[in-house]
Amino acid sequence: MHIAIPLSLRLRVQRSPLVLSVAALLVTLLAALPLGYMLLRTWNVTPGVWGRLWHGQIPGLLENTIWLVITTIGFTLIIGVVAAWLVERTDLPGRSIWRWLLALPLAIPAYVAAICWIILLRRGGLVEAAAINMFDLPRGQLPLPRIYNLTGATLVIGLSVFPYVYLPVAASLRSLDRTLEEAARISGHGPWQTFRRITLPLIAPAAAAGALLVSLYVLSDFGTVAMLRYRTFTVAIFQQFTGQIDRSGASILSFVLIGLTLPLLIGEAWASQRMRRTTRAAAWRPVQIVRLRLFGRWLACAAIAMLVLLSSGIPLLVLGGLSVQGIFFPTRVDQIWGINSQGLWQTGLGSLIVAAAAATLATLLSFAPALLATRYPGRLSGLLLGVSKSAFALPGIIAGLALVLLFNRWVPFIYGTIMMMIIGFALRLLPQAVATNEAALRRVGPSLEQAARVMGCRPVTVFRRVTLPIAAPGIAASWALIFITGMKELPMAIMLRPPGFDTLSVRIWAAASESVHTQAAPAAFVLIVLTLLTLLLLMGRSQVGLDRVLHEHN
Amino acid sequence: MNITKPAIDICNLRKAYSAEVVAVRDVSLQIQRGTLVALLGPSGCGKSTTLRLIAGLETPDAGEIWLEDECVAGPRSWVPPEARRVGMVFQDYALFPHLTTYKNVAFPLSGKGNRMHQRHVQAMLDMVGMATLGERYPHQLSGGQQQRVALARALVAQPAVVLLDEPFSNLDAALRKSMRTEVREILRAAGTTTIFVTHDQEEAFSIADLVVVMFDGQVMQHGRPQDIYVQPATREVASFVGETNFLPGYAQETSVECVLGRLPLAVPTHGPVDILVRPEMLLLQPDPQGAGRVEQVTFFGHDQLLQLRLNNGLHLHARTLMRLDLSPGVPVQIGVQGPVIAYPYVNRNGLHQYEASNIETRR
Repeated sequence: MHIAIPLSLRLRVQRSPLVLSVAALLVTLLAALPLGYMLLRTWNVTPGVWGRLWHGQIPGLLENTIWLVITTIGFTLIIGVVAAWLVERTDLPGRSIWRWLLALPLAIPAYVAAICWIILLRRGGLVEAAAINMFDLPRGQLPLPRIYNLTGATLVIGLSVFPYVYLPVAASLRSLDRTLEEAARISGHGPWQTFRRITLPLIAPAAAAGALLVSLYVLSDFGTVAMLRYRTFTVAIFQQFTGQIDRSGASILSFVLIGLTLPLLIGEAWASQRMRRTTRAAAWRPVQIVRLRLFGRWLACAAIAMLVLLSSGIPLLVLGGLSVQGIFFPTRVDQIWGINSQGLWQTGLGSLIVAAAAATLATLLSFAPALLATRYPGRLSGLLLGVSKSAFALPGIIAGLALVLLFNRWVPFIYGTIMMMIIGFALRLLPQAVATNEAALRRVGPSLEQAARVMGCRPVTVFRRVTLPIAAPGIAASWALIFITGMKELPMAIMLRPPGFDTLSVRIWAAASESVHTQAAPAAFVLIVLTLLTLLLLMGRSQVGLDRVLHEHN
Repeated sequence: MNITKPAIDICNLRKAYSAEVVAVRDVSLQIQRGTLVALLGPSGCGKSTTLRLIAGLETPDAGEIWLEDECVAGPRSWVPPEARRVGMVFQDYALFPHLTTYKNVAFPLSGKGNRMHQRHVQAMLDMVGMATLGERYPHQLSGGQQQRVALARALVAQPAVVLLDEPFSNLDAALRKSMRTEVREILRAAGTTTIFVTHDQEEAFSIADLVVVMFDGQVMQHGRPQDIYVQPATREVASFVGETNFLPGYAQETSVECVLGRLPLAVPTHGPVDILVRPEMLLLQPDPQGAGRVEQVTFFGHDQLLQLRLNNGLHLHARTLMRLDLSPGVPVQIGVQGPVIAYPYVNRNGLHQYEASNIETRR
């Protein structure tokens, strides 16, 4: 009788993960479903289709996609590292303002930025119109920079995602141990040698992690490259599926794109591990600030201001200007606010409903793997967590394609309903929800839960009365972040939306694909305003800086 | 003309971080070649700043620093840290996390384009007992091993001066004691001039040849560890480097009259004084007619700390070997061993003779 009680307790401890493990396994399978289904389909494709594509489209697509990845990595690395160094390590004026202005581009979807640049720079765009007005130039004579090419795509995407590099590099420069640089100086190295041999290697893992996120983004981006008419895999998959209704071809192209993504994903895991290794938990002094001379100060300030202007200033000005114009000059309402019968507010409501429902569903599902991994660490739970998290790298266009095919084949009764859109979005958001909720749950110390268990609470009661209330702020933040991702999601919205149902992103896409880009402005503006409002609400709640919030969000 | 130039010569050094925060007020020091010096003082006394000034990590506001006949910091000269030929062990060791043990130690040599340094680095690792762990990264080493690597890195370029900033403060108590002797032996074998900063008087006494006590940005006293302990220059130094009893007394040349009788003085003086009696100088003898009684006993093992109350109300601390079995309430006779040190009496509250609260104790 003496050992009966501890034994039964032990059994109870073991039983609850069993239920949880099954749930976590199911959720993980769900998260991996789109990927698995695409791979399965590729397996069944006849070799002839393979050969046709391999000798036809694929070489050109590979060339285009890989070039875009390389140039964007190079561009974002340069501006991200230089901006981080100037803001964190020099006496640049206004550093605290630049710090969050440089994170702002993350609130503006790249495809929205692309639309703004198109509105400005295309033939008949704002710049040409202004030039004709002011200098009385004949139409078509003004030399405009060409944006429908590799350079345009690189610049637009790079300016939109450079915070992926800037934020981790800035954080690692801030947390850099000053004594390491001092030790290098004492060891006989001058300032430049110290930077090259100590500072640079120490921020390299952060820069590499950022560059990998950039490259994963470039591979998955659909809206920007489609609008800038630069053919990468995502554009080709979309055309193959919607234009030619060639499912096998689309599957094969998806397979090749997944193949490109995989090494980057492994690299990302490696880089984040390396970052963990180099973080030091020692008493550190704040790093030394480099004093710029007068000329250097102004030059640096101008460079940072230019970066902010190009990355978030111009998109916001263009969208805001066009939206205001639409409101105050009713003669142009038809042109600006679109000819679609459905009003903008209805569209906005559609976006809100889908994103909110999907975010809620994804949050609920994500508890199983996140809880299992944080409370019962082990090989299995780690694997489930890893798989369910890494599904984020699957480009949205492929996930959308897989879900369209799946729903059509297996659950045709909800095909073409809002339900399908919500479930699809939830599956798309699930990996991100798992990652952010895991972080939120990790902040609840296991000893609190053990204390509740000892006081006689059953595991479910512990979760309800202890874990959930403590983790609630983190979970709310996580919900808000995936909600924003849902609002921005483009390719999946295009593929899954029921006929007659619009979201903001669909409206933007529709306007852009009909080459009436100005009509996209109000929807894009509302989208950005809603995103920023959610983020500001989040900031007020969690007492953290915008850069942190924005970065965790991505 | 045969006088050897000091390895380190510091004249009237001053460093202020702002008008209110003056880290180093006025420090002058001369340190002979091959000496092991401890800069001892409470936190915020300017000892670390002094070290960083010598290293060239801070620039002085006034004064000069000479290292081996070269003025490295002064009104008209400035040598950057990388050109000063100093080695330094940082408080958190500052090992480069992206380099292996071997590469960390080789780092100071690599800038000089010397391809023959491989054997030298290996010899250094041998000397600190890390010969087999050269391929490990810093995070794979224990605290003591990290410190050995940091020491090897500081010594590898054969610097004229080695600086250690609170080198043992990140180690646990047991490791600290063994590393102290080990580090001292390594530094002796290397034969370099060494300055290390500490706030632990035991550490300073057990390692250094010369102890420099700093208070409030100034050098209060420097000398052999024994002299600092036995003849502290001021009451503050006395309290900082050990446990103290201060007793009021009246000095008459070579002796002083106080509640414990007439005691010999180490340094002759005259007039009202406070005399310093270290707890271990008190000799106790159980005696029903004794001048005081035991109030509290704190037993440490090899010795014990006793709180005594004299019949006139004065409290004293005594440290005795455990052989003496004294329990609270036992009356004792109190004697003093050896000559005592007297400090000019400072009027604090009007009382002098036999005032009750005139005891300062520091452990």
